Amino acid sequence: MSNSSEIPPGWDYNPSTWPQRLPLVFVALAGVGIASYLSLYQFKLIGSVWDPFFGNQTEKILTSPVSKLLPVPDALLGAFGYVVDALTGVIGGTERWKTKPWIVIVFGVAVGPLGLVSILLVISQPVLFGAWCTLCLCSAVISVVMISPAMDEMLASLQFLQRVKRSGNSLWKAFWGDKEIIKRIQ
Amino acid sequence: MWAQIINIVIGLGLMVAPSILKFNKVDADNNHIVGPLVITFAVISLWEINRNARWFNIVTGSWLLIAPFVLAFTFSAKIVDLIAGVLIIIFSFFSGKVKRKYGGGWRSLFQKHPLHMQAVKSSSFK
Repeated sequence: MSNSSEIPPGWDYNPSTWPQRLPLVFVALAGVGIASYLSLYQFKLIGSVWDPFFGNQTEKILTSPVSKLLPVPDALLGAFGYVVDALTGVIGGTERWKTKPWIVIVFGVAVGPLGLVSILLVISQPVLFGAWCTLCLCSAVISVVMISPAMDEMLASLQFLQRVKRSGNSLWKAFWGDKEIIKRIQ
Repeated sequence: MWAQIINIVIGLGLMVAPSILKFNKVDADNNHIVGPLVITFAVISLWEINRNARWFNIVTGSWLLIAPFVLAFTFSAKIVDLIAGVLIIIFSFFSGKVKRKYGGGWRSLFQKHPLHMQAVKSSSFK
């Protein structure tokens, strides 16, 4: 499994191994759980939301105008984002930084903006509504913690694509995992 | 890394200070916006690959030194933000050990001869 060709050149380790990726997948699944639970309340399928610290403030947050900005409740979008994180985290083998650059980059791009939106939502809670929501804060912590560990794999893929481009090969083909290019470029 | 953990704690302090010390709305809003940003940059820079994200907290820390005067804070909010600002800036300078190479890191993407390409060259001579 620690085949040396799996380690990107100039790196000390392979960012695409399962021990590197699985923790992120589990954290993303926890995010799916939290966000799905919160969206149940937004769909009025449950009557109240668990909050050990801020009581019914959570419900104020979950029914706020910001949560209804889009046609679907924001917690459902969050759940969808975490599903994308988990799926793109699990697809591909232990050399995927060069065999499937596209999935690694979708993974990185899915993790980044989700983290950003979470921060904006955390800021909006006290500033716009004067309320806090424990599970929303947990969800935000999850999405911020995911950012850096996802970025190492993305950097390895971007460096691979940089080598492909400098060698005069097709960036487009390499992005989708062209086998001939993978054989030629390390 | 410990310096980033301290900045996370300071960021949390900024977030809870308004309700403990009864800040007015403007002062509280400022803390509720800057606190999460400080925590976010510090958490991202916990990992070696993004250790440079700590420099963003020079910006948030500097704002905490300016804001009390620009937004005319009350005394307690002014003291809290000035102390927090100074500490955040100081701890942003500590990078800690960065042992791993990451093929040259993020800046490699903009370099003529990045480390990862040199590594490929030297291995093909072997």
